[in-house]
Amino acid sequence: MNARSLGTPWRQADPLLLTTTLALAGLGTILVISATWHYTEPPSIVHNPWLLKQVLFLFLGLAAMVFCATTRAAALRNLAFVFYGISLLILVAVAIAGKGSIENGADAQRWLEIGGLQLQPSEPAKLALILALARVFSSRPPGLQTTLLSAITAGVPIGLVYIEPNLGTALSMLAIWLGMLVLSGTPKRYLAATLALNLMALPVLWMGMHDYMRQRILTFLNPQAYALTDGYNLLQAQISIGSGGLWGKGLFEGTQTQLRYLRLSHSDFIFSVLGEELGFVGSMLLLVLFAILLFRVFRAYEMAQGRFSALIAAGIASLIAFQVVANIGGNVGMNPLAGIPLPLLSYGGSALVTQLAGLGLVQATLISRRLYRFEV
Amino acid sequence: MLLAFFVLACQLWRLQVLEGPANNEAAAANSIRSQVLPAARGVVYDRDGHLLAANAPAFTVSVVEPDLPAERRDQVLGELAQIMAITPDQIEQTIARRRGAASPLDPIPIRTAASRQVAMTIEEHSWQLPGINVTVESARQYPDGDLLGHVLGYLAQPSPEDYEQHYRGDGYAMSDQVGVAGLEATYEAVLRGQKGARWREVDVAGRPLRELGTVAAEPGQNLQLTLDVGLQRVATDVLRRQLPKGSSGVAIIMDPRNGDILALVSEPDFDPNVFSQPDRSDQVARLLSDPNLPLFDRAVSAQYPPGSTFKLAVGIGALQEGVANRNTHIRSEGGLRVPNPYNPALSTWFPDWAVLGDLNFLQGLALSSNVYFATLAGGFQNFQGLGAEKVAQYARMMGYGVATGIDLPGEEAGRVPTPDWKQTNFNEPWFLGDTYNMAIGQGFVLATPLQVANLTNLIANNGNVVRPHLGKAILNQQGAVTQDLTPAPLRHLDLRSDVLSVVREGMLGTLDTTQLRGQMLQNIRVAGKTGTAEYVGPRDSSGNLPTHGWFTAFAPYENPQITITVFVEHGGGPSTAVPLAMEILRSYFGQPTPVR
Repeated sequence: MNARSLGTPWRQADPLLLTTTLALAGLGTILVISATWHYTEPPSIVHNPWLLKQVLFLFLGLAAMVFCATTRAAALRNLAFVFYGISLLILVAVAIAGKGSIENGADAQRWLEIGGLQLQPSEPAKLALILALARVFSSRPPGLQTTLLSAITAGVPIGLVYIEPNLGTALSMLAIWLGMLVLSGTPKRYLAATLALNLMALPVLWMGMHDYMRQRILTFLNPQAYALTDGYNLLQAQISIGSGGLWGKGLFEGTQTQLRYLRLSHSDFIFSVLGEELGFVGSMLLLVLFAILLFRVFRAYEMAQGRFSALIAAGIASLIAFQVVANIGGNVGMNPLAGIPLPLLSYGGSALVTQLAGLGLVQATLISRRLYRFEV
Repeated sequence: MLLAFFVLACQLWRLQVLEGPANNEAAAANSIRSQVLPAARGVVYDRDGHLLAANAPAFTVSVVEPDLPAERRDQVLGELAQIMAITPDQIEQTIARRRGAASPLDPIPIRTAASRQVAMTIEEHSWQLPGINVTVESARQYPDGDLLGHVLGYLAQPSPEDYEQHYRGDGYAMSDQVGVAGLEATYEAVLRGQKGARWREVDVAGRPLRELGTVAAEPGQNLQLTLDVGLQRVATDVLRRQLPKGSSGVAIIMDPRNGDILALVSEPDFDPNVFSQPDRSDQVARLLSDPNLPLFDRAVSAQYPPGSTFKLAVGIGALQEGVANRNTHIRSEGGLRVPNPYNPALSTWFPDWAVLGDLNFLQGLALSSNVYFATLAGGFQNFQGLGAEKVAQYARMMGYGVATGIDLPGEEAGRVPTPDWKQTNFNEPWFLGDTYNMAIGQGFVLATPLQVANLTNLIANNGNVVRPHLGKAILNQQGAVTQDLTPAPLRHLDLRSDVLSVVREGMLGTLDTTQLRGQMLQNIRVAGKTGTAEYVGPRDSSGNLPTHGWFTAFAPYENPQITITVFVEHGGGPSTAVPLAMEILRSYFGQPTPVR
């Protein structure tokens, strides 16, 4: 009996992972409404371009998730380097012809404009990297050769993204690589060596940084000193979160958000909107939802049949875990802000579709696992 | 992974629960702004209800610096400058000049009397101009212009230093206009009212979104003056027409019974409206640089030798002390020879203005004999005079050397010299010649025109030293009197019953002289005293020192209703001051001016 003839066994997917995914994406949509409520004058749901795009991409993302859930490891494995190659080409294209964004004060070239929609190719490039790394790690036993090969595979897109410049995505990709390196069972001595090399690279990295990146780190270290310039956002974010108190001011009631003291509230600082309007209780709820999500993805990693499938789950888990911690940590002032969006919540279509597609791939590992088990 | 989540949770607990209240306050401080509701300033009426100081709507354009988006500051200020037809640099300079004196959230006024056009344009573009406020305030208007500049004064924004020292504590904002001259300054507390406040929630660009509460402003109280603006106009017109060119002069018309000031003219005057209209700042500059000092209120702030008007004080002292009575005869041979105290062989000639012959008190006063009053004050040969100390004592009693207490700022006290004063200031003893000079209001004596007027008041009202005043009553919004401002007399001079009547009789003779008879009114008898005071300056072709002219008088003689005091810089008493005063009096009593 052939798997294909059975159809896709949807009931073998992880319903808890799906529920959590939908809950987070739904919460994100609500928070984007709140964060952009006063971006238009007068406030409107119907004529809010941010909301319209976010909902559009949510449906696109859900479609992508369903589609990805139907894919099978073998096909993905074959196409992994094709995707990877295409993503590298696009990243090069962005570097040459991309449309800059001045929001960080740098000449960032991150966008490709297609049909009036701005796409950020570095987001799907994360998925391509996960696939490529999964293939690298699953093709050879862990060891020096595999480690070096994976470093090159990750290093090229990281470098391309870094020179865009897009520090946040570069760091996310680095996190993907490191997470997969660990979860692929790389011997401890290579892990230690990698860590040491990374630490040694820090001063070089600092020297090579763009001014805006350095400024972000300086601002993080002493936000008060930059209270009216770069530190403003950080201070207002903390005031926003803190003023939410235990229960929050209520959705659409946050003065910091609604009166626009909090800037970039729909993207980098969406967590601050949640903190202000839903309080400590809402923040904890969000952390619990992300914890469940990550545990379910990790569970998929452990239950997956075949290293390739397992490593995809490992990559997705690494990506989401890193972005959650880096984004919330940045909002509450524990680490520098690196322009890393909060997965499933921050406004941004490319990221949303990529994350949902990635979670679809995680579901696929579970679905295909069952498929193999019941194959006669 | 779990560890990272736990650390995040701990940080959130700290921010939201432990530091929640502090952060909540910070958020409130961000978004809740109080806005001051200005109080309408009280208006000023003359004694008959003519409006002398009113309010007209004025638009103030100001900048709230924290609301200016840093990255768009130049653009916003550029647009604002374009609307206001000035350069962005001028705006930046105004901001720099005014910044720092008050709280950073205080609006910094860029223009306090913007045109309606400018105000409307800014309002229309308010979404492109975050941090720019337009408020409607009232600007002071003085319908009579340069008739009442000295009396009413004007409003101005205090300098940052003045603001810190005098105004901040009383709840003024840095941008508030305050009375800085004239009655606007004196009655600032009455006129200013009580500001209200409105609390509003504003967004990050300072745009109001929601009302949180309001305390209404309380308008200032209104002020009624003793002034008769019609008489003020008559007196001003007469002075402007008749004063020697480039000269200055004062006319003070009062009711001697209570000290009401009916007219208070100091020429040149100025139009106080120039201070509330920024487009007239060149006129302010001209006022400030005018060599004739139009901003200087000579009626209360200038000190001149009172000349022969001072003989009134000497005469009263002499009569009261028994040095003289109406029949005391003294002969004027045209002057007195004053021996030099150190060398009897030397002497100084103290001249009378003519050889006047034998004079009794009434004649001495009417003809204003220097010899007569020098003798009363200093004595001569066998005649025992009052002495310098007594002259000074009587002068002070009658209000010389002390400010009268008029309700105008900047009043000077004049000077009554004594032997001690001269010793202290000149390190010289007092000579007989000093007493003679003092007797005729020369030498060291100085008085403001208002002091001269107030001496006439007490002669006319039979011994009451009144306090000259312009404020008659404080009125509420409905026009009812809430406070009568008429002050009680400062004191009553306890003089023998005939003293002042003799002086009045002598003053009556002043106009009954060959020189001045033509000035007399029909049916109304005017009693007065002239003065022609020399002052140190360039001598004329015949070698005489330049003079100031005085005339102070009351009328009607039998039942005095008004006193008038006219002072003319570079003029003479009988020649300049008298015709001016009489023309004003004729107008007051409704008599035609004779054709000359």
